[in-house]
Amino acid sequence: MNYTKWVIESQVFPVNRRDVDTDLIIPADFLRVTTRDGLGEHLFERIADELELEKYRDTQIIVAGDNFGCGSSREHAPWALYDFGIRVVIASSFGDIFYNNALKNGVLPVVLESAVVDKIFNDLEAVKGVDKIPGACEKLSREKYALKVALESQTVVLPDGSKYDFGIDPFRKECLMKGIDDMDYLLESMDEIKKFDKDRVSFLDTSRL
Amino acid sequence: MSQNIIQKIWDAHVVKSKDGYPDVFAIDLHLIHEVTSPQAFSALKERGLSIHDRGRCVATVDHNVSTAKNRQIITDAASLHQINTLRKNCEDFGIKLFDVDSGNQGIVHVIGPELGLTQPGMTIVCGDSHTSTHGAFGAIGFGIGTTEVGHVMATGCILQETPKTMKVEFSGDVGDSITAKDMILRLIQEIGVGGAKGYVIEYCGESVRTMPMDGRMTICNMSIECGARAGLIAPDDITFEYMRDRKCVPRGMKWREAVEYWSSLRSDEGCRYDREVIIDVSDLAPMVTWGFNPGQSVNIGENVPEACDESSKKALEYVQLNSGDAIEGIPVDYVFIGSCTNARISDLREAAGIFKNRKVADGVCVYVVPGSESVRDIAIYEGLDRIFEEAGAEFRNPGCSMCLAMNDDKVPEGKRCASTSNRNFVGRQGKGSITHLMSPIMAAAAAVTGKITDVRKLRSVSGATDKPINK
Repeated sequence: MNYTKWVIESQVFPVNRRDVDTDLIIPADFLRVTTRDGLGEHLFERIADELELEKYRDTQIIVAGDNFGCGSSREHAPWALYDFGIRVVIASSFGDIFYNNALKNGVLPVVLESAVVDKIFNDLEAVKGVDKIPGACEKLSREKYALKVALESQTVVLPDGSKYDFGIDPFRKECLMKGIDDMDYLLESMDEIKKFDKDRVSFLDTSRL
Repeated sequence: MSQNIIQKIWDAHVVKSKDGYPDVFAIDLHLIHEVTSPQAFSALKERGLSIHDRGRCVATVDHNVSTAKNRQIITDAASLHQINTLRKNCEDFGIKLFDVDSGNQGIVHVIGPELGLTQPGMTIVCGDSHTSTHGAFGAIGFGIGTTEVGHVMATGCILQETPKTMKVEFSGDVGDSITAKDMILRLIQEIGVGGAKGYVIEYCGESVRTMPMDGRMTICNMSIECGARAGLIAPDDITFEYMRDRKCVPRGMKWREAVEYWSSLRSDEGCRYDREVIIDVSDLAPMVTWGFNPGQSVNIGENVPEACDESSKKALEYVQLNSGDAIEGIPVDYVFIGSCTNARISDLREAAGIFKNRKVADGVCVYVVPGSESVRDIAIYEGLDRIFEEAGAEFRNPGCSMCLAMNDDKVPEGKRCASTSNRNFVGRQGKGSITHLMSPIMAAAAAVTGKITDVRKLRSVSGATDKPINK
């Protein structure tokens, strides 16, 4: 995975639904695996028709309703998104565990104000209408409605040129851009961890198990 | 400065704090199951790493084990492979595994407390969002992803940002037949499925203080359903009484020292929280979910509400109900009594109280699935299994079963289930399944009447015979 070019320009896969739980992203049926591969095949399987998923096979950006990724802690959710080709999910908020898991798997969760998310959904609805008008300006068609997400500058640019900043923890940003894992920092901290272990207050005795 | 219990436990586990980095945060207990661990073990193997502290890791099989009588036979090749992978990994890495028929196999969140692994003041993680269950003991327990499962295995730590704290006070005394499940469903209804995002909750109030541990676990279990990182209840004499003499707790002098330390963790007088919520439970009625998330619930006397937004409209369509339909009287095809939310012995005793001298309604399939081998064995010793079976319910072997449809126990498409589990998500109990969450006694009432029923009416008809079966 090459994370260095963290500028994603793509059409939008709209998931206009709030509280999309990780069971919806990938049902438990498909968690009986021992690797991370191939899960994209089952992305959103329970609601694929409603989302018209087939139309969005080439998109890299999802725009979703509030509280995306709530529920189960399954990391299979971001694995499935990544495997499908998704690199960015934009929503007004995310489930805590999903947010963390996504960042560790090359999927950038971008929090924008709900007014901006609504604007994107409205734009998409509007261009959907334009699609049906013969000879309508091609630039407005849904196929041409693309967003540009840049991690380094932490910005999202809409087709009309409007630009929105988003926040991200500096450490997480560095990890994404360099393609490094928390594990490196934890392993660097082994001296402190060993010292903590020595002084730890503990009443756990697993020797009788 | 005065601190609440969450802040005290959190601060005691920060190993390293450096500008520009999340904190290195120590984990006291790591619970492992077959579904969210294989890729973590693989990552360790790839990097040539070993387990940092084996004494703090315990594994079991729960999510996709069979709950059938002859459960040694697992026909699904993928499930079998995943279970065998855990067996091999535990052997290779030297981790204690409670396998099927070990006497202690069960749902990971049921066996932790049973074995005394779960203790106050601890930080507990598992690749499972219902790890919040362990908060009932005054521990901070939360779910993590598989990458972090690998981090804990290799270093005993993960990287964390300090959470916000929330106090939830259940005020007033609950009435007859009102359970912990009704209280937590009421909270989620009040604040919504994202209402506690970013927070760890401390649950307080007289009804919590007098509540036995099983109920406390039910409340903490569903913390994640309102988006909380974790939820806990300060330890007290009820906690210590439950823990005493369990396998992994200290004995003698060390026990007294432990109780003293654990007691010191309680929130200080005048401490602050980032948010406080009060839920009056004095008029609470049994709660039932109507939609496709745990926040969409009503009490048994209410009707399915007006669809106020797109989400509610979609929910009504999915569950095949209309606004204004009475929740009471909705026919059910399946009843599931089980899961990490409600499969402990008191849940089974209470349900048995309803099943006794009654029959399961025609056409209803009822699964009673104990949370662990230990719960199962106690239930059999007390004769609860016979009560369930004489009523026409199936008493099965322990596992996650019908809670999440990744084993053989599924609700078929279009069928409706009264369930004591924690999630009524789209397809959660099987593709196209419809779930109504409720307490074990409410689920038992649905089983014997064939429809969603106010359990209090059943109890008043037959007088005082419906007390929980408890020897």
